[in-house]
Amino acid sequence: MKTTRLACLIGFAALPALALAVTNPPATPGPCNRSCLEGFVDKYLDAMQAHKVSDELFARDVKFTENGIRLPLGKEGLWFNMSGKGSYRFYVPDIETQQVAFIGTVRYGAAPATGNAPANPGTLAALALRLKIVDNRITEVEQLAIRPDNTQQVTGGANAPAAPPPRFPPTGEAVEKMGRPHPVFFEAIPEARRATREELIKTANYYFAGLQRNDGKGYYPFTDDCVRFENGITTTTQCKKQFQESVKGIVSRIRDRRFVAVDRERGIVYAFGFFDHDRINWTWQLAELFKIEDGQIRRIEAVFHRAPYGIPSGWSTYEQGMSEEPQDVR
Amino acid sequence: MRPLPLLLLAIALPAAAQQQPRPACDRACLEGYVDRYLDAMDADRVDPALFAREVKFTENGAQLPLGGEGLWLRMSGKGTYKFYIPDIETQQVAFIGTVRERERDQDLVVAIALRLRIVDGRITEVEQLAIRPEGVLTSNGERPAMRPVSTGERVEKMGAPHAVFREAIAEAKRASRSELIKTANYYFSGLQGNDGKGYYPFTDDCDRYENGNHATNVPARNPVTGETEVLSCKKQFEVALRNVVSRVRDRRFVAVDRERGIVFAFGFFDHHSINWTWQIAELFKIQDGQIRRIEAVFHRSAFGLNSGWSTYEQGISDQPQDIR
Repeated sequence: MKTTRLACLIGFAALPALALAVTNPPATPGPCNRSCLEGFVDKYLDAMQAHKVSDELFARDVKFTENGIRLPLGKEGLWFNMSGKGSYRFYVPDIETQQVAFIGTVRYGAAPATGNAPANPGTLAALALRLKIVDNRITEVEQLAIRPDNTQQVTGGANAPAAPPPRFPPTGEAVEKMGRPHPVFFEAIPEARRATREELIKTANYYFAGLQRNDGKGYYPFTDDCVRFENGITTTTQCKKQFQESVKGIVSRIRDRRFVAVDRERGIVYAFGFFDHDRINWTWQLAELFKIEDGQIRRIEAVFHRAPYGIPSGWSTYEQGMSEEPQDVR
Repeated sequence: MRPLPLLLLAIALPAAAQQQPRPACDRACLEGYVDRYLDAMDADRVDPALFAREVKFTENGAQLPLGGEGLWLRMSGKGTYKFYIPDIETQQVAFIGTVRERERDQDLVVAIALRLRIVDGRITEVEQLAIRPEGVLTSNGERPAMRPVSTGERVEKMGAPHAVFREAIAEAKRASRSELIKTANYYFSGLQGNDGKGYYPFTDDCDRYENGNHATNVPARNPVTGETEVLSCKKQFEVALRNVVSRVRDRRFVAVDRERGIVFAFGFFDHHSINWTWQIAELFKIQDGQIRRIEAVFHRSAFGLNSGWSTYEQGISDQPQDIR
């Protein structure tokens, strides 16, 4: 993975991907187009469900993280017991960097009926994913598995009280109920009005910069019809007003802002990051995507869960992990 | 962290032959650093006289700037439980204790596990676990309706470290550093993937406390017979704690007190089937090659988390590491 500060690879994106694939020898296939990149997500999910790490799909030195933690690929985390795919699928292909990001749902832990025990359909988790493709193989896998284990105890012990029922629905179920990505996300931006990669990241970063230590007086480039979904729930239909009036002084730091996929055709930017709340020792680990039109944010979707305070992404140096600067991850 | 015991020289050589800028710290000196560290954290003041310029700090496995973050930001006072494990050989000192932490309008009792490294009169490494009474881990930011059970409060109720821990081992019977670590590691290797048939070197009077709870020698269900009985350390491993912990990894033995036969380790207990990791500090009193008393504090962490001090390979390994 290379992280650059808005370095220029624009010319590469303009190359006809399919033509290259035909003219190049098979050993060095050309870059992947949109559907090719999206196909890698499907192949990845199939592999995870089958618990099979094949040499055809994965590079030998593939690096894998789940929830910010590097693990061996194949039998750990969601790979241990994923049992089925969910129905929500939001792909964000980045043909320029040959990465593809995704927000979706999967099931884990399903089991057939045994004896008196009924069949277990498994549990829905929300999944945020980034894959990097090099020479037709996956070389990097970065995923957040947002599980509904919000009622389990931290400290354990025989005297711990039972937890109360949660106020919010489990994230995986709520994301699944959204059905499919909103039509706004599928709308192509007319070619003449497409923003550059740098411009799109800059606009998306205003969201983080605005929310961090927000005093209500920042620069908030939201459209009037801007809507935000978080963990499958509508959290605002008045993005700008919310920033001006209510979400003030809440998030103390937004760090390790990794912009990992940019879809210029549709004006979508996808980022991983962390929201620290130092007064309550609380860190949200997030994947968040932004639909941007004419330099304004029109629609936002995020999935997140609590992580240990201050944890890095697993892909950043310590300094990057603590920094509030945007990173263009290539 | 240095891989070799260079500081052994400091003990073995006569003072006149040493070229060290400062003499090595003895037991009381090392314990004093814990007190000074707690005072500094309470005041949220990183004093250049106490800390090296390049000091590295982790809390709960995450590296953070020292001062103004984590427990440093919110500590509001010291607690009463204090268990020091000085390691004069490596010039490290470990600690289990309690502190107060301000949250909103109340002071919470927080258990801490700590390791400090001292070089040339200054603290160069700070590794701490802050075990907070958050009760539940909420994905959606929920606070528990009931007052959460506090590990810190339970640890504080233990009063003081048990008298057994303070007993010195007769000099002729003192085990070597490597022997003590080897014995302590049998606890982790016995628990990992336990089938009830491992090697469990516990004394007959062995006892264990976890997060201030009495975890052995209390009435508990024997899963083999279904009866309620009092399970000793050994019996518990033989009949009850089987196939519970799938992996005990990043086993970092960070302080050894040969004089008292105490070994202090950090580590992680993974449970693959429930995607659950305990981040743990655990200490062992060892006599004649057997574990006599165990004390641990821990909390849930993210699955697979690294200590913040290990390489990826060390972090995922179940081999013991002698941290010097």
